[in-house]
Amino acid sequence: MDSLKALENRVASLANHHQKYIRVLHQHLDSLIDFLESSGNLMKVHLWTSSSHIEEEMELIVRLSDDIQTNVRHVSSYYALQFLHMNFRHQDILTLGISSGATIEMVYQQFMMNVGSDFRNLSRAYMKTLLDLYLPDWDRGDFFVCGVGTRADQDDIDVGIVTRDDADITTINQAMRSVTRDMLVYATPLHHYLSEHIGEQLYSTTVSEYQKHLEPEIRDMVIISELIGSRFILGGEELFREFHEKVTSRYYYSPDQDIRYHEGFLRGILGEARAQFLTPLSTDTISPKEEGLRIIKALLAAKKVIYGLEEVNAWDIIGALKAKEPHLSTQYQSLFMTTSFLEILKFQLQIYVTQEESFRLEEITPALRSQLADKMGYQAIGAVSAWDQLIIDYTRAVKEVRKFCEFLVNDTTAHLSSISIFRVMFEREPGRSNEEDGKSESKQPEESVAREFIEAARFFSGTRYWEDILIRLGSDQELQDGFIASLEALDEDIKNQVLGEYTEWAPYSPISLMRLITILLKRQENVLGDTVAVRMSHMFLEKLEDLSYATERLSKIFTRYPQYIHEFLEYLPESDFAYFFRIMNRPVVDENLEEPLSRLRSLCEIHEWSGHYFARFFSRVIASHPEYLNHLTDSHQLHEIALGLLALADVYPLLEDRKRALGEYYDLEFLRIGLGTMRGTDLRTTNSEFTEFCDNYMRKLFDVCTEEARIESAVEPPSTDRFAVLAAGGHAREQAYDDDYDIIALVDTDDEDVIRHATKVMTRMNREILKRGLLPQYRLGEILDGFVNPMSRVIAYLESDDPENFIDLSQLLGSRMIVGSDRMRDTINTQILDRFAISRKREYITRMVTEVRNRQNITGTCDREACNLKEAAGGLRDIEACALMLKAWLGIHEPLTQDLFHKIRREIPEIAADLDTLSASLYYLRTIRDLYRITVAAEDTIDPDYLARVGNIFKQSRRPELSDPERILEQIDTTLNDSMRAIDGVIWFLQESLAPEE
Amino acid sequence: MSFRYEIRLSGAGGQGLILIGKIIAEAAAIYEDKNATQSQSYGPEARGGASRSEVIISDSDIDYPKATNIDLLLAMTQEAADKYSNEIKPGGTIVMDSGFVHEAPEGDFKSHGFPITNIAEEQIGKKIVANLVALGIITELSGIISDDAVINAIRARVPKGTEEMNINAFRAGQNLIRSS
Repeated sequence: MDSLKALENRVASLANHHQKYIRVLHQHLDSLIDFLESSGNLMKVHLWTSSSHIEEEMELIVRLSDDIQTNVRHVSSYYALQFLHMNFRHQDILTLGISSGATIEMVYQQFMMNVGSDFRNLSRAYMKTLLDLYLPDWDRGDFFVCGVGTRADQDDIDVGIVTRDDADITTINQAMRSVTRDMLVYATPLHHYLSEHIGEQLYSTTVSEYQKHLEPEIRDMVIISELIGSRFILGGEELFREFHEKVTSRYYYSPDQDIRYHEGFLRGILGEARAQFLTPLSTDTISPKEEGLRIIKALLAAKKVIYGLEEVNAWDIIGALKAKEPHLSTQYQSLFMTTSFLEILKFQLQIYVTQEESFRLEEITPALRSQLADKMGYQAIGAVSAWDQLIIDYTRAVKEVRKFCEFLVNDTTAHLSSISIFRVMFEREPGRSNEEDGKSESKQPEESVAREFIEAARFFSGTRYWEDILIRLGSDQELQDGFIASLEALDEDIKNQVLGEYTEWAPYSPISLMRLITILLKRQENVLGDTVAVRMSHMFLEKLEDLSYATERLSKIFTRYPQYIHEFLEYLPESDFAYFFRIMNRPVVDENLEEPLSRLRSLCEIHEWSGHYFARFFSRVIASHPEYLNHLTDSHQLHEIALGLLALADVYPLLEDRKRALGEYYDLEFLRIGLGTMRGTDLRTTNSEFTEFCDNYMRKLFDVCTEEARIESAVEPPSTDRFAVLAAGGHAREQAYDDDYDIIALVDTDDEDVIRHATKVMTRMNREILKRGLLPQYRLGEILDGFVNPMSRVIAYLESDDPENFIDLSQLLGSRMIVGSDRMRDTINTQILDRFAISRKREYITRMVTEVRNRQNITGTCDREACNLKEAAGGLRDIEACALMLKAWLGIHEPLTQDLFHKIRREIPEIAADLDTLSASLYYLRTIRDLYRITVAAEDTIDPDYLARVGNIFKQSRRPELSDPERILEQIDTTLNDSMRAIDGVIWFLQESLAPEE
Repeated sequence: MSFRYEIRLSGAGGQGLILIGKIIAEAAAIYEDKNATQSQSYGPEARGGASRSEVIISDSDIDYPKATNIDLLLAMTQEAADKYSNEIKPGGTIVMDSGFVHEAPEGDFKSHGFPITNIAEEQIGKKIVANLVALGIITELSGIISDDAVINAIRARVPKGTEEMNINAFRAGQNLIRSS
């Protein structure tokens, strides 16, 4: 028993489940040895070393006793010994292989092939021996056992047991029942998925039962996948071949047979593969099977049936594919290597950690980590531990798998499109008979296609991959119109029934159905009333609401295909938003999905609460960059990406690329800041960040456009010592979300060439600014007949008695220089602002007061049904006018920002209270304006019916006391009245102060 | 007279239901010399994130490996409770994680609701051992397998170094029943 002790010691280094074999040995090995000794056979059986004659030795063992159970216990002890020897032997060979310097993945692959082969031989011999005990003298031609899982898997053996229709099924099942029991107790458990789901639910299934189950439709992809990957283990080989001909071969591509089975398998298997892509990589678990191998094997099975390959294991199939698709040889070789790595990692985790398919990192102790990494040939390099390297390789491997397999999905989709039965349906032209499907009657597609499609699709009820159809439908408006018309034309009852059939897809393929509905909603966007698209989307959501796993599924879809959900929400009728959001507000069990779900909820909030102005902007940005949807909740990340784009605008060699990067920078920053506003970011932060990125954008754009103009005209552009671009209006006042950009471009020269050249720059800038959804406005330029105005012409205009020039002077006084030198700034200050506004402040203030009073007389106080925050008495324009008067009075050149009031307050403490009121009023009115712009529309006039949207943001920013629409209206009223009183106070002070000059 | 006891463990993927199915089957078959079968769902019904494992324990041969007349149903999600409670045999038992099952199904069966996942988190410090807490409850309520057999099977199924934590979780589940 020293040998047993030694074995036991070595087994202690393996995962706990190996103790099962030690337990068997403790219980029954003595008896086996006694029987072998007493019969003189001890030397004929390998107990303490691996045997190459396992089947023969098992046969010898079961001849030692007349009692079946004694024989079972003996042969099980022998099995336990050989099983452990086998694993140790292969571990030793692996260690040797790793140290040999051979390519490690090849060593892995060889190891897996050998251990798989040996395990299958050992378990096959054991099963056969048990069957011989339970079914002596049985005609093995009546049934066969096939393996339908991975050969090397030692945690369970997935088997199919198939019998002839006229076999003695009862006896076979009794024997298989006993074998199954013994395998569970002494060896590796058998799993009978096929028999559990087909036929009379016993351990075996007849050929006819398979045919009966599989013929009507494609339903259970697991069954079909297992059959396609089946490998003969024991029993009647002739029957195995016959079974393949009668049952399995229908899924292989052959133009001469009913193509629906092949198509159905591909639809099913591609759906399975895509479902795997949808699952985000776990952060706390490693699952080589779930995260990599399952996808690989699904797609290899697809290729296997397309090419009619006989190979069974992944490496052999990959080898065959290299020959079939030599242009992908390199990629297949890489897949070969990755498969080897993932297979051995899973195998070793099961040998050393636990016999599961997913392994929680926190459960793998440091000692186990070191052991595992060591067994796979990893060594620490510097500060990076062997285990860390292994995990890095694992992550890289599963990412590579997903990338290449996504390519294979698309590749297989192309094959699917070419053989699909639906191809014929969609390619049928209106009014032309379809000869291919043998129907002679002429059919108008609008009369048939949608219904015909769903009827034909019933056959594929268990599948969920319809990408080929959706791509076809999505790209062909004529087809969409025919499809929609064919639905609209149906009688109400039939229409509901057909729409109901479509929505039956919801549990299997919400992603396909969602995309179909999006295509229809988009096409019927401008059709009023109860369209088929609206009705289908409503029925779909009702269906989803009943699915308890809908939230998980949609979160997974969002992880991989966020744009699909975004597009769906973009066109979803508002009345159905609540439905969808209710589903998304359910909790999820899988913690890995909490983060994507949080992003998805954020997307829902954007769609629910954003106004058309922001929504349109949002959709435009997302259409070009759907990946931004993955960062919606991470403002910092969005900002980092934006800064990267800004940096790219400096390095791209082509100016067009620089402009594109700049545009993307602007869009992304606008999006980020808009999202911040929706989440309650403070006005001060919003305005400051908004102004910063706008200025960055304009400055860089100026540089690029200047360079472009220089290259085009081969003339050196005017320097910024003579050329300045000023922001006026809202952008000058650091106010966010203006939908126009007031620009004043000045040159300090009358040289026509310079003016022409500067105009070229501004023209190019205008073109780009327009692309951002901003309207460039040149009030002064329009009056002076050019985008770029020489200082001399501006001065002449201001000196004139034109009654309008006062407005332009105000715009200049409120402007902010974006591009230009200090010299240019000084020139503008001294020659324009000082000369016309500050040194003539009395005149300026008097004209401004008149302007304010006149406007107040015209606009009056706030109308609660349509309050204009800008023009109402005491509104934003009055406050800004007041600030301009104070600027002129104090001779301040600084732009009109929130901080300006603080500065003035220090200068004129006499009106501190009024200034504080104006500052607070400006803050509140701008806040409401910003929120209204983001959540309702880019308007200054407030419609009280939509104030709940503004109120919602106050709620989210934890200021619920300000969220009631009625309360907001009251507050606007109060603010405007306070503001008016403060403006009166300031005007009184200015008029009093200016009086001595009269 | 022979007995047959059917257990269905149902909930969501990642809740470790397959593992406790294996543990129960092995406890019965390997450590108590009973017959047992264990099956698990990986068919279409598992694709939505649902997970199901079935164990049948008998002292005689098991000819029919699917559970149809359930003695004990573990439901770790509302969907599982709604979907499977009608297959519990009269007088059978349902055990629910009340953190996820908010509307207990009604029927001719004994109903036990416990905040299983919360207990795992609060008493053991890890939500992931909620399955072992549930196993403790099942072991105690069913009374068909001994503590020792289950603990041996737990030891054989969990990674080295985590045995104590998993057994503590199992004990926490047992204590819920013993103290109620």
